[in-house]
Amino acid sequence: MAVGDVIQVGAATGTVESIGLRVAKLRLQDGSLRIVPNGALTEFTNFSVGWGRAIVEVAVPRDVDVDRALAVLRRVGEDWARETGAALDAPAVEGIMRFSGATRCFGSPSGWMPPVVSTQRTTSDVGSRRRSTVSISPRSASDRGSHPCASAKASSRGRSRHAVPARDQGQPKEMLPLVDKPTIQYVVEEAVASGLQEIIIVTGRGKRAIEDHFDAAFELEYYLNDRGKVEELAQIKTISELASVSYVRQKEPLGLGHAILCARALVGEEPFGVFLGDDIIGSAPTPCMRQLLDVFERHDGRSSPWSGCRASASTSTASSQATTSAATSGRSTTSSRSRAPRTRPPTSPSSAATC
Amino acid sequence: MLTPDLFEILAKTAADKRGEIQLTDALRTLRKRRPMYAVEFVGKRYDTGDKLGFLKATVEFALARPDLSDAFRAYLKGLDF
Repeated sequence: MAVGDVIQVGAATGTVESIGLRVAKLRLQDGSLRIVPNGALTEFTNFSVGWGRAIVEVAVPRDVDVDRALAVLRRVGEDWARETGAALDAPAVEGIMRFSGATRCFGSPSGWMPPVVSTQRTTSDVGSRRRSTVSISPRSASDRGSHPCASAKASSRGRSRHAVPARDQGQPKEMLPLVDKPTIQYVVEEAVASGLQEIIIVTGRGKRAIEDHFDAAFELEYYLNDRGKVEELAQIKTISELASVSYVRQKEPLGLGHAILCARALVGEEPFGVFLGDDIIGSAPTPCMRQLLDVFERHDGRSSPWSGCRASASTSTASSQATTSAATSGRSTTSSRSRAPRTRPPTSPSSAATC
Repeated sequence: MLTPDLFEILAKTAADKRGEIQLTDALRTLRKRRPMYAVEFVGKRYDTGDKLGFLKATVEFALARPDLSDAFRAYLKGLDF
């Protein structure tokens, strides 16, 4: 939650004006100011994170031509999207939601950004059940569910807290494939190729698919083994064999710094590299993190605040582009971070592994 | 590459006005205590968190793949635009 967010606490909905040590001030829709003790903010709904859906129910008389009513609703939705430019995905008419005592038909033009939330699915289920009697529901919810949610990332730029919790059920953006591998795997592969062997991935809500990906992928292995697809099997196996991957959950998206703090216990007293789930380095003759590690190791020893750690004196961050990625980014709260290897890679005589 | 002494600083770093703890703020504090080094790395960075960046990465990574490169290049060249 941050200043400017629209939240709902209990029955009150309003804009957060300030968050103090003891109370938060909420400007309600009627203009009044609600003072909420922070202790009362144990459960609230935030409407300002990433994207939202506006569900509009329209009641029509029982004797209306339903097909025509749905067509009108569809057009109204399209006009609204065109005029305001506020829709992240084309508004759609979900269909009839219910028949009331007077047999009314409810359509629901709504604007949202993929992926699907459960309410949407529910709505569509109702629609498809009714499909036999009325022609409705031009696009099924599952159509939209498969829509890659690239726009979530665009909107998350500069506002990191939008990056993670925006998506409860869809594919996390780090799992979107680049050619044929999820983007997060490029990141993990860079870490491993740089000689890092322990990967800590800081995840947030809706990121379970990432954990599944780096698990043994047992089912797929079994399937491929069964059909003698040896080559594919070799590729799949390397995913789980790349490194030891552990996860720590960032309960609230409170910035990149906070994400890193979440991994403190797992990192311990060792140097570590920070990666962002959506920062991929290509065309590098040497893996980017390895290039950083090489410099890191060259500056070892001096002004080291902890003992027995030769390689830790300097904190090197990549310059130019990489600095902006690693440092300014509040935009990805999922950062995968690697601890320095315990066994030193043969290529690096003074690796951070000494720590 | 960061070092564990950063955690102490991060833990004391105040949230910004959006309520977020920024790594940059912690690094700024760290820089006052001891040197930090920058590396001009060789390589190309793709911001896959951005739609256009994601597309660029997809195209360039596909072109760099031995098994796809030729066919994909031919396809791109044949596009009418």
